[in-house]
Amino acid sequence: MEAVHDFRLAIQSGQVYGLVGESGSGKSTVASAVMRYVPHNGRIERGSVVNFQGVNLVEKSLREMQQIWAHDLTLVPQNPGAALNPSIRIGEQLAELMRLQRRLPESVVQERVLESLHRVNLPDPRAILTRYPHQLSGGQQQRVMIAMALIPSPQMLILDEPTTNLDVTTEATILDLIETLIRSEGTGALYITHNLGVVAQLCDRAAVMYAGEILEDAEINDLFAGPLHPYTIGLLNSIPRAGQTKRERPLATIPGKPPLLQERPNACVFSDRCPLVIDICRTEKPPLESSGENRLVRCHRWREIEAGNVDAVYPTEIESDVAELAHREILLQAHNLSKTFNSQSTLFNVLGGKVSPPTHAVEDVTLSILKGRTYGLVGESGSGKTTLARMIIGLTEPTSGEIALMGIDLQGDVRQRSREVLAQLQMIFQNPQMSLNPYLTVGEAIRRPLIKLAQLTYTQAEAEARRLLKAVNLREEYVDRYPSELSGGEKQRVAIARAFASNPALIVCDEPVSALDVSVQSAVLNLLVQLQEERNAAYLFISHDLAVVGYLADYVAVMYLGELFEVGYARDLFSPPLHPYTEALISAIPVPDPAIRTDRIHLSGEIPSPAHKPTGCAFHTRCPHKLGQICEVESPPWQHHGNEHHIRCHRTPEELAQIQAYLLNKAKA
Amino acid sequence: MAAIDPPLPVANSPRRIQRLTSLRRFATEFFRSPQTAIGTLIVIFFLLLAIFGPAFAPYKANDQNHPVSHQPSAEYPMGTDYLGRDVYSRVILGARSILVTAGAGTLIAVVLGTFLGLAVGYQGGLVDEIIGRFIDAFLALPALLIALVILGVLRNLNPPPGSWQAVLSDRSVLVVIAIVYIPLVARVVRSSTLDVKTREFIWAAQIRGETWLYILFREILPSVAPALVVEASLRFSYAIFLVASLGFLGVGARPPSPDWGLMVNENRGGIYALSPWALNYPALAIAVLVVGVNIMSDGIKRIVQRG
Amino acid sequence: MVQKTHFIAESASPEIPRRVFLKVLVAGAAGFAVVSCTPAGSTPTQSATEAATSEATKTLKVAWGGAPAGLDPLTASADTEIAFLNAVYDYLVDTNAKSEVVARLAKSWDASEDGKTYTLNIVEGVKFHDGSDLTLDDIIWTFDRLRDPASKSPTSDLYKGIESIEKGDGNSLVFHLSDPNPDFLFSLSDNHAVILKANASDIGDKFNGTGPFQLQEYTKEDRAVFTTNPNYFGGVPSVSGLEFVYFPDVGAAVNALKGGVVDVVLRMDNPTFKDLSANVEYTSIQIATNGHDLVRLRADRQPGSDPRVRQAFKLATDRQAIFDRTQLGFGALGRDTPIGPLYAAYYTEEFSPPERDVEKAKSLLAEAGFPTGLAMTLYVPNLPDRVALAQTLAAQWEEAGIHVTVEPQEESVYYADNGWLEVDLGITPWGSRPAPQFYLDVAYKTGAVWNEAHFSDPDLDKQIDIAGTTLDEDKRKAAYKEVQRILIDHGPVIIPYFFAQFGVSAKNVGGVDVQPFAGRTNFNRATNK
Repeated sequence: MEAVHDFRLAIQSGQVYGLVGESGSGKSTVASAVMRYVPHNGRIERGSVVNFQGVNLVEKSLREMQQIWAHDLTLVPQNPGAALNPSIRIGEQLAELMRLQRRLPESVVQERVLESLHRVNLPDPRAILTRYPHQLSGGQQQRVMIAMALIPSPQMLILDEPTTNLDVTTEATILDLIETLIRSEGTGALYITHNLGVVAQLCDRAAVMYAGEILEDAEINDLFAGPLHPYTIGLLNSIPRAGQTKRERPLATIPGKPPLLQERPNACVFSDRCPLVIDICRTEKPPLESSGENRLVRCHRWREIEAGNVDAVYPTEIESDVAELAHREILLQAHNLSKTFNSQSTLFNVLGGKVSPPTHAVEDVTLSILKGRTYGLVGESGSGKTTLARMIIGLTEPTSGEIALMGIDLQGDVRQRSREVLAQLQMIFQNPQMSLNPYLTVGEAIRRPLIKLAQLTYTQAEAEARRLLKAVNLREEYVDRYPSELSGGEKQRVAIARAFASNPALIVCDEPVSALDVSVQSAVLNLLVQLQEERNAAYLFISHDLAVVGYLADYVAVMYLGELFEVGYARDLFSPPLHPYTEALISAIPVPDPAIRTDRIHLSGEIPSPAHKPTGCAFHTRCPHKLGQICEVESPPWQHHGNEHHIRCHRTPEELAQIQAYLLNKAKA
Repeated sequence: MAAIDPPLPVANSPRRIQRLTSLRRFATEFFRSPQTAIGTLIVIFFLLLAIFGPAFAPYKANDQNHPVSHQPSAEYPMGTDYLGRDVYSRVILGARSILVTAGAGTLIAVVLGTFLGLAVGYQGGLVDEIIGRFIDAFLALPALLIALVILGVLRNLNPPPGSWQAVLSDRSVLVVIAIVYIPLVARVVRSSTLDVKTREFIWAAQIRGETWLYILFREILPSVAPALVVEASLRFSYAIFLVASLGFLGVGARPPSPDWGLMVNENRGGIYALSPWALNYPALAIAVLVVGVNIMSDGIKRIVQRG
Repeated sequence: MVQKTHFIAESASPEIPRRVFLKVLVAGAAGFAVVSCTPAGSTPTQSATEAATSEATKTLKVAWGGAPAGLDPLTASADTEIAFLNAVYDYLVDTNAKSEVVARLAKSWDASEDGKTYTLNIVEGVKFHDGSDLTLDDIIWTFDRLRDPASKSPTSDLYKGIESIEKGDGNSLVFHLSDPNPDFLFSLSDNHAVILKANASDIGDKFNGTGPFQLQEYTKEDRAVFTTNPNYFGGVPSVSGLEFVYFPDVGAAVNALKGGVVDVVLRMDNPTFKDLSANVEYTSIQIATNGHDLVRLRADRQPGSDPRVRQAFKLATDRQAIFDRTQLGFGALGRDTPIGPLYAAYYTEEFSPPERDVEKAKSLLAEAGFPTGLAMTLYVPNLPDRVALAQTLAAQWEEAGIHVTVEPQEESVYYADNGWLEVDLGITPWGSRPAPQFYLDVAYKTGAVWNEAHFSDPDLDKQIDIAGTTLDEDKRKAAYKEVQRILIDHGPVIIPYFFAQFGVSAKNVGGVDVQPFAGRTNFNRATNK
């Protein structure tokens, strides 16, 4: 099974080379292959060359490779937690690496180790040295990995999706760090990611991979300004940009899904999804041609695309006609919802008189969701957004506060809610793999709520299930398929169909597209918009991705450590962002346009754990516009600023607006 | 205008479930390893022996009209024992009782243990803590010991004939197997349940207002089933061995039943020198069957883990 | 092989043997002392001749399966316990392998014409281990203790017939009986009747006896080590010491012998003996006993109350086949009566149980109202030999339409609460006794305490009484003959065989006087080179 075909790449020192691809594109395999770290059932084919500083790595023995790994070519892996040895302290792991470099006296080794931690901006490096990996946060672990990768001052660095599992604000700081370090050291880097925004901001060149092949390779500006391959074009058009909303136009979607590596056709791998496909595409594999200076593209029709004779227009799947915001009544109201978890005290704690402080996962949240509207909730890890969702849906009982659906109070426990209520309130989950019972067919999964909640007969449910499948743009035959036969995007559509089965008035969407590939996300988002219009369903849309929330939601709330800090209509929130946290969130998103270089607002430190919330304003430990001591002591009040726009800050909204204007000017200058 | 996904090529679709239910593909998977094939064949052989064997056994179990302690020969392929009974017939006839007792006992243990494990694992909290500790305490004792204690009580009750105590006493080995293995099954099911319970499709079921029983059996059980099947087949092999051990200790089937364990016990001591085949063949039967079931359950484990 | 005496202690029931005065009996022609392959020609029965060498030889180690529980002569009953007592104490009289009374502390005896007075002449100059002399007072005290009703010992009933004991002329003791008792001397040799020192204390913990060995060290459940008694009136034992090693079961004991750890093992099952006797490394001794396994059908209620049913059982049983299969040729064939070939004077082969006839059995059952046969439970103690017997019976009876479910029970359960006396169909092992009267009085008379079959036949009772009281030997013979006829004809029991007692010793061991009751085996003439 050929995972990667005809891959070629040339990286210069000091250059950051991006490798873009979705899941299954083969990008991680490339990374491993370059490092010669293939699993035992893989091999690098004959004739492959990995020319590293004049030496062909393919022919090297293990011993020789070990030397190279130690000194010249290092890897920052995707999952730092798995890459660190959990039973050895951080300091020792770094020292181990240091000792491999050259024979140095131990004191020097320790010094250098400390230095390396300083370099990655880890606060209190001495303490970190003595800790075990599990005692560090994800962001800290990743910084340690970067430090480890840089210890030998390597010639080249390979980074395999280093920020995928991190929060967006943490990601922003790591990206900054990487950029600084690479530039200062003059290291060459291969940066592998699926995130086009990161590539735009960080890389000098990029190659786009699909199904194991390179489809396009160009300088970054050329790639984004004038992409030549239909796939690249499709990708770029399917990402919601900050400020773009559903009312403007639907997202472009690339229909279908990538082929399985076993089934790669011996023609153009993209042909069955390409809007510009012609006969030759299906029979002959396009060669990787040079389309200009330093540019490669693998398409039969690239010349036409370049000339502008054809347009790679992707069907958008939906006719979007989103009505303007007319007045709607309130569907669901939550008043002062709070949830406190009492951490279980161990016997030692009880004996020692220590009582662990309770965790305030959600504190005093009030929100109103209008019928047929999308209420967006943005937050990073620890913000309490999932807990809030669970309280509304009834899986977690609130410690205090009320929830009312259409004026009637809801029971805190889902088991006590009536069938009618349950039918009105459904949920779509983040992880499509786990959302469906693997042992039930798609049909059974969808019929169940139809029979149970909508009280249809079996025959009626059978027919309705098919209708629902069509509504989510899946073929009727899927009724008999099992989830294991579906792709991620298809599974999520089934989950959506299932959620809509009982025709609910409100659907809680907990990060429904975060686990999906970029090219599939847009289709699902478009679908959600369409269904909302058709069925007048309201959404509580939860995500960490502000751009996605901004696209989809009518009204947005920003949540941090269990509290709401800013609420308002989507368009009011983004231009300009007033609350310092909102501002940071927005600027943390890498914009997929190299022309726009945002000055990221660095948030110092990391997100505190909800068990140890800062006093006063929860955000004060990281706020770039902290007022003073008042922020540490007093909880900030709600302040009104225009059309349903509220901010919680000790500074007035006017002050904050001024700061934003100032920053904008500075950037332009 | 609404683009729909292109049709899935059916022939190559990785239907995992179909693979497990379609016998032919199951067989191919299964027999990929020669070991597993052998193990399964052994088990099938003994099952057939249990079902059809008695029709082929040349003599009855307690038929003593033969020369005593006769060497294996054409007429008596496994020789005769110290009372002049044909060992070959007794081994065949013994297959049924040991497989039925071990099989039924395991089945009961699996059914009840599954229910217990599901309920306790799903419920969590205090219920899980308390019952979990009971189960742990039970598991700390060796199965044979518990079995002997329970059997000692049941056998010496001297109950009035026809009462439920008498029936219990008769079927005491079966009852004991069930009692001894329920906690083991429950523990495996419980830990699997704990894992499955956190998955989002369970949340989906909860917000549909499904009843507790529905969630346990329709949502959680199928995901638990792979681990359960492996555990069940392993339990079966242990159960067979336990039944044989109890028979050996004299607390299992009553003579002149052709229970293999009993045969091993009867024919050791002084008699062994006179007719070693009367002990060797039943012992061999026990060993082969137990190993066969074991190997087979290894195979099951492999499929289940991969699929 | 469990000796029946084990349970006398537990049920304080009387044991009232009456025996004919034995001067008639010594018809040594009984010849059941079979000896197999003894190289040095040491026939254990002629113990007296053997004792020539007084050179001290090695310690003799004897292995037992089981261990003594209690060592007070009043209550001791297991053969390990009796063996212990037999080593450190003496009896007035012993019985030999031919069931004859032989002298021990009583060197000779006389009985009056009316059989009510017995005079025993006691050996002079016997000393206890502590050096004191044996006096007649000691013997009187011992027997007073034994016959004290408050002692709750089975001997209190046994010696009920003694009116008084007084000193006679010379060193003799006179026993006055209330009724004539032809078996009185046998009762004097009862297992419990070891002679203690008068007013002895800590009986059962301290052992100050006259016996051939002195206790040196006793570790419960492990072993008892004895040194020889240098002053033993019968001559210092030829071995330098005696050791009883206790093992959990006979199998372990036999293994110890095979491993060379011990020198002698007594009591084992037939196959083990058969295996050992084929081995030239060992001297194998078997002697005939009257011990038997008894199969009884309860005769006081259905179905056993119908003599046709009892006859059906008898017809369905092939005793010869059972004897051949289970006893492997050791012991003797049984004839449904407790009077076995050991009692040469009384045993007769004039009457025989019927030949096996399955068809006749079936028709008898049909006549009796069981046309489709019988289904019963056969209770048996969970001992390998008895379970084997049960299985063989089950197979034989099956063909006659009698379907039995074999129910093995641990001995403690089988004998508990006298359950064994209640069940309809059971197998009970009975140990050997020196004379047949014991069995008849205890188990066959109407209302006898251990009459497990609840059998009642006035004719039988009459004959038992005659045999138990008459001093006329001929009358006795006739009575026993009639007893055998009745039991064979319509008795409630099937006795398929009498088993043998076994002793196996290492080749260099000799002079072991094996007795039917293993505990009475004498080691004082043993040699171990």
